[in-house]
This record gives sequence, C-alpha cells and structure tokens, in this order.
Amino acid sequence: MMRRILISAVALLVVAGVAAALSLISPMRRPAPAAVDLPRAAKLTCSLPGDVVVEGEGTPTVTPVAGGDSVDAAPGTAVAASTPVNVRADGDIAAGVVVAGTPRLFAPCASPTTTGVLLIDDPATAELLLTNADAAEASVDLRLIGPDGELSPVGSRGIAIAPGVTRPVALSILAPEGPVAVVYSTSHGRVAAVARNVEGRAARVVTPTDLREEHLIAGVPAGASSVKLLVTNPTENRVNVTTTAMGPGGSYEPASTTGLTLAPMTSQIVDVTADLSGEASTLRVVGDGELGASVITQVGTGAPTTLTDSASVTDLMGAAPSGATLQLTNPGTAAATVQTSEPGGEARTPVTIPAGATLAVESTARLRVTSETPLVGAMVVAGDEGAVVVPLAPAAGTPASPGTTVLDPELR
Amino acid sequence: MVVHNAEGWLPRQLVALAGLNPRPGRLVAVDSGSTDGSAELLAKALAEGVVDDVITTATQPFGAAVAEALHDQEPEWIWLLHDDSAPRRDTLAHLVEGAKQADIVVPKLLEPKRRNYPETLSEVGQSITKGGLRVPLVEVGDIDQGQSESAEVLGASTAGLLIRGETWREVGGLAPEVERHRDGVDLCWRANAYGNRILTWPNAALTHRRAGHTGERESNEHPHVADRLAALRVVGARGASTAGLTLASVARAFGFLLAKSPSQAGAELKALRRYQSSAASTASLKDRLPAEDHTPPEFIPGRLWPVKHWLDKAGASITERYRDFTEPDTSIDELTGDDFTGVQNRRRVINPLTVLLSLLLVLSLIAGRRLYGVGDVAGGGLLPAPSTLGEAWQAYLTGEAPWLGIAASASVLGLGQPGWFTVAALVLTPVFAAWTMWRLIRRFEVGKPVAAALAGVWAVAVVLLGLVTAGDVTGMTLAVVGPLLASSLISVARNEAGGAERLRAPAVAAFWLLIVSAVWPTALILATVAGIGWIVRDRGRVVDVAVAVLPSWIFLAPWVPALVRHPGRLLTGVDPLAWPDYHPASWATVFGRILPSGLPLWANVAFFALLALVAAVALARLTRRAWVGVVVTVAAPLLIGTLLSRLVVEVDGGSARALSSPWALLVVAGLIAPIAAVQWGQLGMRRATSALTVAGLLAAGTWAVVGFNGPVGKAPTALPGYVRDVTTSTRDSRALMMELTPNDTVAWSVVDARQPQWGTGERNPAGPFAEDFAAIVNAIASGNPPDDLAERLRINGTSHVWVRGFGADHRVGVDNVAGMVSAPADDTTIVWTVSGLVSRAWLQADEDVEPIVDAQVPSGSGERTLVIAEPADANWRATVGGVELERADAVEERLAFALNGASGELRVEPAPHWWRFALHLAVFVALAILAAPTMSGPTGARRGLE
Repeated sequence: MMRRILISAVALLVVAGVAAALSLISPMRRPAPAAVDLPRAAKLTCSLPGDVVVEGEGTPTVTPVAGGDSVDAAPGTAVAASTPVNVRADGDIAAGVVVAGTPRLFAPCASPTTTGVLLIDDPATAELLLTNADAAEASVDLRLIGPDGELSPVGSRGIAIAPGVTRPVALSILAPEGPVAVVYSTSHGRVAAVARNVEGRAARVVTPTDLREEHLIAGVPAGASSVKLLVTNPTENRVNVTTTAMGPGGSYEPASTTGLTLAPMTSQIVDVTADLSGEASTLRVVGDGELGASVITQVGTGAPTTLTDSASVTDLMGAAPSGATLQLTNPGTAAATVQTSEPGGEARTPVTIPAGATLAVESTARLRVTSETPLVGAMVVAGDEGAVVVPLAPAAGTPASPGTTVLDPELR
Repeated sequence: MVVHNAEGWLPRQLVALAGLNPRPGRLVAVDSGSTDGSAELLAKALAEGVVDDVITTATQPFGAAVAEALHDQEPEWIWLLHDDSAPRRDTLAHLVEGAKQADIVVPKLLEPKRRNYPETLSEVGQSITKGGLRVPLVEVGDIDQGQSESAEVLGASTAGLLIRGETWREVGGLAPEVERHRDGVDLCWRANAYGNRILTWPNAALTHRRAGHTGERESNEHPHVADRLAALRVVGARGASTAGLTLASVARAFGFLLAKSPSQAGAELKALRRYQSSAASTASLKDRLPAEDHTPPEFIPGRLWPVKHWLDKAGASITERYRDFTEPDTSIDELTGDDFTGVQNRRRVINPLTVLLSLLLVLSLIAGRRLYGVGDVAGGGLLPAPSTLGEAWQAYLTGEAPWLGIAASASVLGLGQPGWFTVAALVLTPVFAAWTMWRLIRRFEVGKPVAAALAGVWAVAVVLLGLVTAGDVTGMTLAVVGPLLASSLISVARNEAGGAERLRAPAVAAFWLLIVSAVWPTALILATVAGIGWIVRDRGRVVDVAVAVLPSWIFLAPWVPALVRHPGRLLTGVDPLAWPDYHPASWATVFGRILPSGLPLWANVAFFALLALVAAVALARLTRRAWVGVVVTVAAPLLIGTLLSRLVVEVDGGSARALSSPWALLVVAGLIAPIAAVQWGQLGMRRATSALTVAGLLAAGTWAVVGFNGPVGKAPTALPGYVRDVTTSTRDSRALMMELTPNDTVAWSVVDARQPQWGTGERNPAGPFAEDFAAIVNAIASGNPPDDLAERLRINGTSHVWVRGFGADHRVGVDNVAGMVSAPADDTTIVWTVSGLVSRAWLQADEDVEPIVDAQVPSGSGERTLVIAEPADANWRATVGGVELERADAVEERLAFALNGASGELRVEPAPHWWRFALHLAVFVALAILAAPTMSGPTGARRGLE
C-alpha cells in the first residue's frame, strides 16, 4: 500500500511540477490603451511687443491678450504686435517675438504657467512683466533669491493681475543687487512671465525656466565674448552642481564649475568664458537637488542674451531671422544622424553628430530637425551688435506626455 | 358479476368468489362480449359451482349487463361485482351487516396487494364536484389500518356495491346514459335524491384492480374519455352549465398538457366534444331524477374544493420533498458501517451537515463584517449592484449578457434589493457551496461524516481560491451550481424512467447547465462535446442529451453572435472588463493563488498541499482505471488553467485575462473525488480526512479573522452628492472622473445613472464614447486641455469632471477653459461643472442648442431635432407625450430623432430586448414543464411497480 501511496503522490507531484513550470511562463500583458488623438490646441503667450514669428501646424492666430481681433499668422511670416498677444493653433506650435530695438532680440513665447523661475544677473536694470492671458484673475507670489539668501521685499506677495492685463514689476526696487532668481508661483490662475531691461537700457530679455535637477542649455554662440552660468538653489538643502560643456569636440567639464556648490536659498554666477574657448556649446547642468540654471552669453559689444533649458526631443522646429546658424547638440551617449529640412522643402544631406558634441551648420529661416535620438539646438544669429538665439522647440508629434492613463471602473 | 376480457385477472377473482362465506343467494356472471379466454374460465367456474349462472351477451355497458342478468326479477339485495374486484372471504357477511342500516352499502376498496407492502386504500365511497371531478373520501394510497368508519356518502364505485332491491327498482337501476365509470356515483346520487341512505361499511373489503382505469383492460380509446364523459353527464344532468363545464375541461386539458400528458388532454377534450354532442343523453339522465332532491347538500363539495385539493397536494408534495431533502436515504455505507454493528442502535443526535453548515455560517458572517451597512459593495470582478430590482431588470433588458437576467431574478432573494443580494451572495457562497457539494457527494452513498468533511473542503477551497474576496462572480456561481449540475447529470445517467417522466432529469440538468453556461460559456461547449460523445457511445441517449444541452443553446442564442465576434469571451467570466489587471502569480498558482484573495499565502500552501496528500493516499486505494481517471481529471484542468492564466484575450470593448477559477474548481473537485470514493471505514483514510477537516477549519477560521481583505469591500462613490443628483436626474448626464494615483498612473472612468454596475463590464466600462473620453483624459492629464473642452464634454452628455490628485498646473489648465466652472470637493479634489446645464438630451434647431433638463420638450415650430448623447446607431428610443419619435440623421455623430412640433414629456431610454426576454422566459417555462412531475393518472406506473 505504501508503494501505491508513493506512486500516487509522485504522480500528483509531477502534475503540480509541470503546472508550476507552466506558471513560470511570463503572462501576456494587457495591451496598452489604444493611442488616442490628443486634442492639440495650443496657446502661447508673447509678453513683449514686436514681430511675432510662428512655426508649426494648424492655422495659428494672433490675438491681443487684452482682447481684440485675431490675425492669422501663416508659418514663416511675421505679425506685428504692439501689445502682448496670445498665439493659438489646433496643433503644436513654436512662437517667438523678434523684439524691435538695438540690439535685436528674440523672446520665445510660452504657455502661461503657475510656477517658474527667472534668473537675472543685473536686477537693478530689469523689470518683470507678468501677463495674465486667461479669462480668470491671477494672483502671483514672488520669491527672490540672491547670492546671500532669500530676499523678503515688500510687495512681492499677492500680486493681483486681472484677465488680459500685463503688469510690470520693478525688480530694481525688490532686489537692487544681483544676481537674483525670481521664483514665481500663483495662488490663483497662471501667468506668462518675462523679464526685460527697463527703458533706456540696452534691450534685453530673460525668459523663465523650471526648477529641476537637470538643465540642458543650448545655443551658446561661437565667438562669444562672455559666457556666464547663473544657478540658483531654491531649496533648503545644499545642492552640488556638476556642469558639462558640449562643444564641437565633445563634452568636458569646465574648470570654473568644478566643485560648484550652492548653499540653500542662494544664487550664484560663474564665468565659464575661458572654459568654452569661444566655441559653440551647450551646457548640461546637473544638481543633486532641484535648481534653476541659465546661461548669459554676450557676443561682441551687444547686449547679453540669457539662455535657458531646452527640450531634448527627436523632432525639433524653429524659425529665426535670416543668416542664422544652426547649433545642434547631441546630449546622448551615441552618435546621432540628423536630418534637417525647410518645412515643405527637400531634406538636406544628413549630418552626424558625435555623442556629447555640438555641431554648427548653416540654417534656413524656417527649419525642421529630425533625429533618431533626442537633440537640443538653437538657431543663432550673431554679429557685432549681439546675438539673437532662437531655441528649437519640440515639433508636432511630441506632445507633452499625459503619463499612463488606465480606465478603472472601480473609480466611481 | 360483469366480465369483459378479464382473462388476466379473472382466475384470481373466481378464486375469491369461491371462497366467499357466506355466498350470495345466486351468483350470475355476465360475459359481456369477451374475446379472450374469459368465457372458458367462466364456463369452468360454472362447472365447478363457483358461479350459479353464466350469461353471454354482446359487448355492452355495465348497467345493461346487470339488467340482463336480473331480467325482470327484483331480488331482496343486489350485489354488483366487477371482474377485477375480488372480495374477501367475509366481505358479503360484513355488507349484509351494514345492510341492516342502509339501502345501499358501500364496501371498502383496496389497491392490489404488493409483496412486502401493507394493504393500501383505493376508495371508501366517493363524491363528485359540480365540475365533475372525482372526490375521494379517503386518501388514495394510504395504508389501510382500519381507520375508516362507516359514514353516509353521495356515491361510490359499483364494485362491490350492495343495493336493496326496492331501491334498485325505485331509482331505475343503473342509468344507460352513464355507460362506464361514475355509474355507481350516479346510481347512489339518484338514490340519495329519492331519500335512500347510502352507507359505507369499511369492514367489508374488496381488492379492486381497476383494470379499466389503469389500461390493463384493452380499450380502443383512452380510458379517461369514458370516465370524463360520464362525469360531465352526471353533473350536467344535475344542472352544471355547459359553458362552465367547457371552460373547466379546456383548463384541465391545458393542465394535462403542462403535466406532459397530451393523451390525457386529448381525452379530456374528446369527452367534452362527445358530451356537447349528446345533449339528449344528458336530458334523458336528467329525466331519471326525482322532482324533489333529498340529497344532503353536505355530500356535494364546495366550489373551492378543487383549489383546496390542489393546494393540499402541492403542500404535501413540498413537504415530502423537503423531507427527502433533509433526510436522505440511508446509504449502504451507513448500513454496513460501525453505527449499525453495535448491539445498541445508537442514534446520531447531531447531523454532520448541520454542524458543517452552522460552523460555516458563523465563520462567514464574521468574515463578512466589513460588508454590512449602507453603501455599495464592489471590487475586483464585482461591479456595484443596481440600486433597485427594477434597475437590475432594466440592466438585463437593455444589456447584452444573458446572465444579467439570472442575476436580476436572483436579486429577489435579497428581498428585492440587488445590493443586499450581493452581500448575501458574497458571505453565503461558501455555505451554499458546501451544501450543494454535500448533496453531490451523498449521491454516491458516501457516509455523512466523510461527505460533511469533503463539503467543508470544497467550501474552504472556494474561500482560499479568492472567489468571494476577489469578487469572482463566475467562480462563486460555479462553486454553488457546479455540484448541482454534476448531481443532475448523475440523475440523467441513472435515469431509467420512461415516457415523459424520462425528460425530468435531463430538464433539471439543462436548467443547471443553463445557469453555468450563462456565467461561463465554455461550459456549454464542453457539455456539447461531451454530449455528442455520449450519443456516439449510446444512441439511446439522444433525447437525454438534446433535452439537457439544447435549452442552453437556445437561451444563449441571442448572445452567440457577440461570442463569435469576440471568442475570447468564452474564456472569461461575467463582466470581464470589470477586472483590474491583476498580474497572475507564478508558482503560487499551483496552490490556488489565482486571485488576490487577501488571505495569507501560507494558508493556501498548507491547505492545498494537505488536500493533495490526502488525495494521494486515497488514490492509492483506487482501481487502476479509477486511478488514471482521477489523475487525468486533476491534471487536465490544472494544466489548462495554468496555461490560460497567462493569456490575455480580446473581448468586446477591450482585453481581459482568461478566467482561471472554473479550472481551479475542477482541480479541487478532482482531488476530492478519490477521497469520497474511498470508504470511511478504512483507518488510514479516517485519519487523513480528519486531518483535512482540521486544516479546513483552520483555513476557515483564518478567513473569519482576516475577513474580506481582498479587492471586494465597501465602495462608496467619490462623487459629491450634487453631482450624483444631476447624473441621476432627468438630465441623465455623465460625470468624467480622473485620479492621479500614488504610482503616477491616471485612473479614470465615466459614471452615470447606469454605469458602473452589473453588466457594464461586458463592454467598454467607459461607455460608447470611450475613445473621446480617453482623448480628453489624456489632454487634461498632459496639462493641455483643449479650448473646446466644454463643448467636447457637452456633446458627450458630460455635466461634471471630477479630478483628484493633480497639481496646480493641471487644475489651472482646465480652469482657464471657457465653460468650465470649478469647485473644490476637498483638499485634493476639484469638480468642474460644465456650464449650460448639460443634459444627455438636447434640442437642436439649426445652430441653436437647448438642453432638456426637466424631461419636458417645449412647444415650438420649425425643423427641430432631438439629439441624444449616444452613438448614432445606439439602440435607444425616445417618446414625447407618449408618442415614439422617428430617427433622424445623426447630428455630430450623435443619435438624433425628428422632433419638429412635438412637445410634452420626454422619455429617452435604451430600448429593451423584449423578444429576447420572451425567448428566455419560454426556455425557462419549457424547462419547468419538463422538470415538473409528470402526471401519473390511473394509466401511469404505480409506485409499487416502479
């Protein structure tokens, strides 16, 4: 009987063993939700007056923020705007304002946001423009972080902005000395923020960036006479910063930024001009905590230009004044083959960019760049009177990711 | 004694007559046209002096034959005998004794004696209703214990009737208008009418074979024809209206049809036709009645007697079935077990089933403590129940899956509250599963202790597999109904009945197969294949298989096209898209970890390992063939289920994982089978089964402690009350819900008055505009809501957007869209109301859009269209002022109806599938008829002969 029991037990064990082996087969995954055609209605706000240049899909329209008639803005053409405007389109677009004056400047238009940071090296000559392009009132709080800590000036909290209104805030009063990081956040609504030099000073525009651990700042022009890295630590912890420069010959760490560390709630400016040797470059700034970073570059005797973080994607587009040079940087670890073309035109001969290198090529006024690996880039018009740097923007097909969405009937 | 073709039983009759003491003064036999050996038998009896005279006539009615025997004589007493009514030796003596007090003496008629059975009563006088129904005065089939007492009656069978000669003359003898059957009742009734006394005398007994009634005496037509015709004539002559009798006969014929006796129904109608065409005979009979009727009125039953009688029989039947149910026959195992070997007959005070069910009930009630109280219970594969029974039926009528009808019907068990039924089902499924498994195991004559232990094992396995705590409705149903189906199939296999009675067992099996197939269509495929295999082996089973399998195919027929379009649905259970994407376990699958039960894994490992070990011990005691069979029975579902657990299949509206629980239950059943097959008396098995019982108790106790710790639980809606009020109002709008979960996944759903609830997991749970909503959700989640968000929501009938867990950028993004009005619901939740009183229905005239918020269509002129936020091809209907609207061309791909100048109350709702309901009802009625007891009239088999 014991033998029969053993045989029976072994038989069941074998069956269970086979089942256990089958259970090790990786289960099929439920297919991801079907790709949906995202509504791509885009709305950018251009806070400065000037010639609005739009690139992208759909039929963009330009409408004054304060209200008024809309004007169609065909890609590749400029629409003169004397007041802040909204640019709307049914697809992804990039837009900027070529600001009139001396020297000429390019100020990218951006979506209104609830938070952001503007890094300003000389606040004594600057003013902040806060534009509420929405239909609801916005209320903005400012935090100013200087080299020695956070400033607490009167009037930096609860700045109310009515719909369609652009409100200037004189930074010279709030923070007379620089560098300073202006961190803005809204308790209601959202705003488009930009800083510019006050009248009477050389024209200059600073666009906002986000607080994050890594910044890729493209568009440092070749032959820059001055390149400064401005970083800020808005947190209550010390942040160690590692900077990598990506030039034509590859990537390297600028000596001036070695061991760079930021005390809590401080801003710091580092001159990396000598490290870059006047080469067209992109800087990668990485912190072990959230930080804000921008690069202030100057060509010739012109006014400084502030560069901020660019999106690293595989499909880029941009539009710039004629005579621009395209600077493309491959921040990846493998060489990238890049195809450039003028929208609607023939593709140009592909170029290869080594990993961590920046390549400068001749550009057209309107440009589309595609690659198998993510790139950053900018269109640079440099001259003795300064430089206009137009960062390339994500083109159609690269919308902001909504993350993973899952239909869940239990949510009720 | 009138004789007609009685060769089969006449010898016994003659022997009885020969033994009479005293004998009648003269015993005359009338051979009424016999064509068999009756004449020879009578001649022999005459020669031997058993009878005093034999008169041979042509075939004629009983009364005419008696008249022939009497000629014009008027004896003091006339004793009427049938050729199948054998008197006892002292019958006549007792009758004569009774004759001292009566004009007609009615003997006690007994049923034919069966070997080893006591005498049973057939009749001690009878009456008749005004509709012609025979009214027995004793319970036919009761054991004769001398309980009957002498009493005055209306009438009786002519068998053994002793009639005073004067009375015979006074009433005119037997009426020729009542040829066969009921002639005794008519005679006695007339005697009563003349003021004679008819008295039963139970001490005088005859064994009445009732050869004519039972069909033993060959006849050219159904015996019921003559019986019913006589009954109609008897009551018709006494004032019963032809219309009333016609109505009653038609109703009875329909009843006979329901009782699966078409021949009886035909005979009923045939008798009715003859009665209607023989008014002269009825009038003639009426003329025989005296002008003044002295019949005591209490002899005639009241009008409600048939109803009372039917209720009495039904109640007795139920009682008898309940007794059979609660007190199953003693098994061979018990009769040969230890309990019967002792000197003293020990009486088991506590039934093991009672102990098992009581214990499980207490533990289940404790385990379900989190489910009690107000609020929906849902989770896992279980969607919330509809709020009311009406909504449950609405879900069935407008939905696609047939199981919704069964769920709606079963909700009656929850006192009409589907939510209560859900809780009861979750808590009590292990209890019912144990009970049904007990009944199945007992079919194999397994001892009660073993049956209780194994039923407990089954119940515990149901819990440990996670069927109840994960909301596996299919598994729960199969756990309870599966054993009933198996039991009914055993009945089919063992079925030896004939005629319509033979259909009962397959019909019961068909019912349970239908339930199982509705929740797990694979079962129907397997049953069909198995049935075909059975037919190939035994062609005599064609009818059994057809009756068992075809009803399920007919029931599911409207659903078959959907199954063909999405064959993956065959491998899933109910509401396949309700399930979250639970990642299947790996090796733990072998230990029944097929669902997130919330119970500790060690409980699964310990219990199922022990079950397998005990099964192995039991296996060793089986024959080689049974051994192989059990191993295959365990291995096949285990391997199939394990493989299927890796699969993802396409179903209507999405994809779902194949269901493992049916296969897991088959594995458990396969492990239980050898244990049940081995007799309890074997010492090793007793210990092993005891160990299994203890393990089961520990596992059940663990469940009681842990409770419903899996996906199933209270599932209150997160929507604020004012949103729910809108979605359930006449606006009937939708609400879009989004939540950023801690793992950065955006969960979303669409809620309205009809979803989510039972059945909405049979298609995309988000409803018909799932893709549109997915796009909106993605847009909002990406922080880039479209400017026309409010319009997109409006044309989908969405009045509110509920968002939880998102940051300020996302919130402000929606805030800045025109037409979206936000209101915080709590610290992390925002509810946007789409401005403009969004409703599911709106009026559209050119570019003007006017939502209908109060279910009232205002008066208007011009070309107006009613637009419904449903797909253009949706099966919805709309009525205005009770008038159904015609469909119009779709507006923005939405369902539209031509409204024009109509105004009034608007009703917009999914169109119910009445034809499908009718089909399902017809199947159930047909099964009920087939499964109901077959009419066992006098022509049917008697219990003692079965």
